Amino acid sequence: MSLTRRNFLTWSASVAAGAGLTACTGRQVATQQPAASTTAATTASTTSSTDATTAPTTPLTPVQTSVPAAPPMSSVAVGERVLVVVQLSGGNDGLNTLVPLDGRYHSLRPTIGLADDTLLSIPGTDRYGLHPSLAPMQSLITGGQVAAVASIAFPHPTRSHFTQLDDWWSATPGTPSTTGWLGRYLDVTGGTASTPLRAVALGSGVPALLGTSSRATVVLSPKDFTFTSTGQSKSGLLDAWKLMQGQRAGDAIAAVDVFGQIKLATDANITADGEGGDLSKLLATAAELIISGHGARVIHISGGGFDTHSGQLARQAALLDDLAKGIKHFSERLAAAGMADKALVMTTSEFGRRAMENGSGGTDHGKAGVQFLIGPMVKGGLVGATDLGSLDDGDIKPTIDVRSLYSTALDWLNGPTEQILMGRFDSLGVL
Amino acid sequence: MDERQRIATLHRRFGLGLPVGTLADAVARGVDIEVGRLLSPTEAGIAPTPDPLVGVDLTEASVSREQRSGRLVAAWLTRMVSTERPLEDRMSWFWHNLLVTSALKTRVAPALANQLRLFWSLGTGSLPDLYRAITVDPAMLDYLDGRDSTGGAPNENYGRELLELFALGVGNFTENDVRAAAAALTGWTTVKQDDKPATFVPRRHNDAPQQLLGTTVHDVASVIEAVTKYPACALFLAGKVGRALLGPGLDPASVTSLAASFTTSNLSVAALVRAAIDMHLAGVTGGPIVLGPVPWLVMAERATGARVRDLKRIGGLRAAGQVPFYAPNVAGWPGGQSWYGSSTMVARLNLAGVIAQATPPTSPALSAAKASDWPSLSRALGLPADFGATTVTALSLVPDTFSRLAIALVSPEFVEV
Repeated sequence: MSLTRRNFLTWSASVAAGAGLTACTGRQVATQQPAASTTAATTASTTSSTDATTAPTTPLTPVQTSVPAAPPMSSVAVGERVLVVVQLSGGNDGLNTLVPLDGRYHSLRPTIGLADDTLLSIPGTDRYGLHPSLAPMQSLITGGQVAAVASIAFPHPTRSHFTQLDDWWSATPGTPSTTGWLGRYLDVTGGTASTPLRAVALGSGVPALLGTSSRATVVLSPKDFTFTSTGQSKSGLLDAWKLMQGQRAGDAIAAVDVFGQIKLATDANITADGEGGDLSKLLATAAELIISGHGARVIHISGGGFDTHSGQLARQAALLDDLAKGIKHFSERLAAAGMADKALVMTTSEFGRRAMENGSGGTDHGKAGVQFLIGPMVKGGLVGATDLGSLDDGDIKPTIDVRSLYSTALDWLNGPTEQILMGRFDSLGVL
Repeated sequence: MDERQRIATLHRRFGLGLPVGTLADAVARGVDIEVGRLLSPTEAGIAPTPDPLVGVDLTEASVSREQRSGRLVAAWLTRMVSTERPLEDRMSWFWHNLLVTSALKTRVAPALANQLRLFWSLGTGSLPDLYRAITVDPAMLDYLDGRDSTGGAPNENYGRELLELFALGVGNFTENDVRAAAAALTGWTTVKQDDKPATFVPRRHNDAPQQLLGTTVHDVASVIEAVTKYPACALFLAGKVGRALLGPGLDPASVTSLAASFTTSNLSVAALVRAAIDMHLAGVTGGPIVLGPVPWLVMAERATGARVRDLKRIGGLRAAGQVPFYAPNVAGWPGGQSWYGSSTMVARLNLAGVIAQATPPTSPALSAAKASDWPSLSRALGLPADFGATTVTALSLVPDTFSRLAIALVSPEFVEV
């Protein structure tokens, strides 16, 4: 049974967990050769450096094409690392997130373009700036803990929220799958010591976490995730419920217990400075969940509102501000707990938006977007480039495959990356 | 399938479940009469359901926007719990989850209320009528940005979702079709904080002929005609309606058969529902439907006779992840197995406790729970069969009456249709 309503159907070889290294498909190239995605990224960099007068410059951090990233320096055992995926639902506008300092940008965005002098600088490049609402992350950006990945998408983007989400969830673009990329990671690394909180979805359930043997705890709203007195005080009720519903009730009971323990800390730390939006609150919960030591390995956070067909300026500013405040708080909490190295944060979003604004102060669905990798283990700066001189039917042309982003994170988690992604996609070289 | 199974499941799939203690009467009346009561309530002598919004102030300035939306949500829930014409609301709920508008973006409660009235009045009528109306519905014009779309720079949001999510599905249209629909639909606008009907402003409209799905269009009427006459439309809607009412795994041949009935009827939604009912009576099923929190709450209140207070209803539904008018995005609620996520399961159990506590002492469901008479409890709750062995064992573990009833309400037998 599929979690999603759309096309997340039977994938004939639904044995991802056991398929191993033989599961490569024709879409990928063999190990040691540059994957198509990374080749494209390299091309973008090359193009920019040979045409420096009109196009953005080479990114700060060159994309590595064949040399694996060096093992990161960390005090945290590899098996205890946590990946936090933050989904910006609706399709975050990449062009106003990572803005090229390029005259063509202001022609494409006459009313919603961001003034060059308001942008945040990124170490290593003077040809791009970040949305000013990311200012709460400024010290992380300046400190080289934020890598911005430009022009990223799956091959053959569709401009559909839902077919694109299917690709982001499954990482098997164009091919339906019953498992998600994170579910496959959890399956192959779970062993017998699986705990219900090893994978947690906050804000919304997500098919990316669907596995064949692993399971995820879905918490929509942490503050509401509790048994009310009506339910709890009645003796035998929870036992009967567990008997009737099996493991999923047992998992839920265990998860409620843990969330009850961490909730006070979360409330104390986040509501103190006023109002957090969805993402900042959920990131705060994620931090406490990690610090509490209940074995979380993958946390997926969803926040919506990024589908900015109209009134984009104010809405995206508020959403990115919330995201940045959440990231800042998250990184400060982990650092204070001596766990700064424990978690890597990755953003995802189904697509970038049209380069040319529409008549409603917004942008319609597009193709490639911008994503971030954040954490002290990240070599910060810019990966790839945004080429406004070579649009794809009005959209930012994809030059970096999402699976290269996923590879980067999975390598840091110690994979097995190729098995999970069913092929090799060279990492972005920022870890 | 015996008569109880056919009739109980008929009401749970095509209606909102039978009111407490009425299963025996329905079985005595027989399938033909029960189908007639669902599909043609006027002919069956069932009085129209009163508009629950009469007397509800959706514009009161001294309360918050959320409170005004909450009054709308509460009024609809009350109507669903009490209606004697459940198919109207069953289909309105279907359309609300397909032709989505969310109060998270569209914040004018009276406009949302008018959209709901549109579903009540046209939800079992002619598909082209419904689609013409929703296309210029002020709440929809706000939610999917048609109100801001101008001929010079059309906004693609509604045009794309009309083709992808509402009428045809992925693979049945091109990017050029999206652009054509967006351009031809320009000109209809609303005042942002108003619930007045949309107005057509010719200077905002692009009247140039556009090529959409192989035909020439230039306005709302021609776009809806092109879209609803396109063969993929009947098949798409037959699949949506068929899977919603008969089960998510409904086979393609049955969907094709439903689409043929739908097309033959000139796209009458009532005819499509009738064809699906006939399939149900012939034993066709697409497997179990996991009730979302809203239809589950409504059925649980109807089945027990409980009336839960508005704030408790809405708070419980929020924790469970489904509040009317607050769909997470334009695709509606994900549904299916996602309702077995931890939050939803916990919230459902909490709500079941609230419903049990709010069940009147005279309710046959409460009497049966008190007497540990499980077959009677299943009949009181309008279920198609007695509880299975696992549920009976679980029920037997619970010492108090209210908790027993709560467990029955979250049992797979009640939650899955």
